[in-house]
Amino acid sequence: MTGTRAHHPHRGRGAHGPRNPRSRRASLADINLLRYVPVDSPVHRLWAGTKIIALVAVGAALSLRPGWSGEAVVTAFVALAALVSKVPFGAVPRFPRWFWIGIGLTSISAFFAGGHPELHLAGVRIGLGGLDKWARFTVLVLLLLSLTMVIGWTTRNGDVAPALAGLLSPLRWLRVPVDEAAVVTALGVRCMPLLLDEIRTLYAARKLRDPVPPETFRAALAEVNDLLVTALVTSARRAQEMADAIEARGGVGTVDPSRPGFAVREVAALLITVLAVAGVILL
Amino acid sequence: MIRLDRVGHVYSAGTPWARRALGGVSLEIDRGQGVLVVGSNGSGKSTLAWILAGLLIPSEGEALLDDRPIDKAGPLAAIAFQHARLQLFRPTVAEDVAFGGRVEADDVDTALEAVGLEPDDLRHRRIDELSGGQQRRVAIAGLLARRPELLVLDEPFAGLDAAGRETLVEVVAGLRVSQNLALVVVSHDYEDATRYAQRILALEGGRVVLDRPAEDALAAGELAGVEGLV
Repeated sequence: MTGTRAHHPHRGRGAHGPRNPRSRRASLADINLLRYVPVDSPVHRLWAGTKIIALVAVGAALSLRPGWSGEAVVTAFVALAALVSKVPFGAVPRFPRWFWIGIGLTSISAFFAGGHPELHLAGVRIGLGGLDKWARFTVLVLLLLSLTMVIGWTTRNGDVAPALAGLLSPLRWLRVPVDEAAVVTALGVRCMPLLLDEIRTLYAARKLRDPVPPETFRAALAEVNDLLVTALVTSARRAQEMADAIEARGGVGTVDPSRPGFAVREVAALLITVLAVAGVILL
Repeated sequence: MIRLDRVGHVYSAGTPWARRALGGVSLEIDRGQGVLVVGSNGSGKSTLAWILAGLLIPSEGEALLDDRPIDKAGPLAAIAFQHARLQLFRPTVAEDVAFGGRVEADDVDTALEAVGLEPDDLRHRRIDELSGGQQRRVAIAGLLARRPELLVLDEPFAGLDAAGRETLVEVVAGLRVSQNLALVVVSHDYEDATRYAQRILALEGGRVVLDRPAEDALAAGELAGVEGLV
C-alpha cells in the first residue's frame, strides 16, 4: 500500500477510530505515581516543607498510636487536604485486579487467626481479632499512601529537594551531610520517571519472550535472579552515564534550600496538622 | 498481514494527565515488506511501535495480525528495543536466545546466523562481554528464534559507531528477505533507508503525514518537510 503526502495533522479528517473496549485495562504506561496536577489551590501554594512536615507528623502519630479513632481523624485530614487541593477525581489511581485479590486473600488469612473480640453466631464463636488488626493496618497503609498522593499531586518534583534542604539545615550543626542528602534526593526524584520507563521496557521484553512457567521452585528463583541481574546491570549503566554527565558539568553542586513565606496558609496548615496529630494521640 | 484501522491511543485516559499520542492511523503491511517510520520526539513513533508489537492495546480502532488482535498474537509480533541490555535475560548468548523455552539448540544457531553472528564464536560468550552492536543483534536473534511474522526495531542504529551501524543495516536489510517477515524500523535516522525499507511513513503529532515508497520520498526530499527531521 502506498500513498502520497498526507494531510496536515491539525487540518486532517481527524477520524478517530471507535473506542476499543479492551484498552480499558490499565497498562504500566498509565502509572502516575507522585505526578503533579497543575491546578491552582491553597494546597498547591503551600511550601513543600510544610507538606513534608504534615506527612511525617501524621504518619508518626498514626504509627505510634494505631487505632480506629486515630484513623478516622486522619481520614478526615486526608479528605480535607484532597478537597482543598481541587485535584480532579480522575487522578485517583485505579489499582490492578491483583491488588484487590491480594487484599482479599490476606483478609481471609487474617480472619482465620481468630482472637478477641469474638462474635457469637448461632452458637458458634467467631474470633475477629486477626481481622480487626489486619483491617487497621491496611487502612493505616492506605491512609498514608493517600496523603503521599495528595502531596505528590500538589507539589512539583523540583520543589522537594530545596524544601528538604531547608528543613534539615539545623542538622548542619550536628555535622549531618544535609547538602549531600538534598542532592541525592533531587537526583532520586529526577530518576523516578527513568526508572518507571526501564521497568516498563523490562516487563515488555520479558512478556515478548512468552516464557514457559518454571517447573521447579529452583527454576523460578533462577528466573527472578536473572531478571534482577538485568535490572541491576542496566541501572548501573544508566547511573554511570548520569555520573559522567554530572562530572562533565562540574560535579553535583548543591541544592539551594527553600524557606516558607510566613503566609496565613502555612500557619493554618500547620495548625490543622497539630490538631490532627493531637486527635490521633488523645482520642 | 498487519492491518491498523483508525488506530489511536490516549495515555492515562480519564485522568488529569491524559495525553493523546496517536490518532487515526490506518495502514497495512504485508509479509516481506519493510517500512521505516520516522518522526521527531513525541510524534507517536514509539507508541505505534508498541501497538504493532502487541504490547499496548490501542484505545481507539483495531490493530490486527492475520485478522486477530496483535496483542493476542504472542511471539508472532516482536520488538527489539533501543536499550538491548534490557532484553537480555540470561548470562550467555546461547542461553539468552533460547530463553523462554520452545527453542531448540539448532534454532539458536540459525537465529544467530540470521543476525550475522558466528554461533561457534558467540554461543558461550557472556552477554556483558559483548559490544553494544552485538548485544542488539543477540536481542534480535532471541526474537527471531520464536519465528515472528512481524519484527519491529525501535531506534536500532542509535548510538552505534560507523562500523557497527553499517553491519546492523546489512543485517536488517537481509532479515526481511531471509525470514520473509514484515519489518518495521522506527528511527530518526533515514540514511540508507532504501536498503531495508520499501516504504517510509512519517508521523507528526501522532498522525501519519507521509506514506510513500522510500525511493520516491528520499529522491523528492519529502522528509525535509516533516517536523523535526533534517
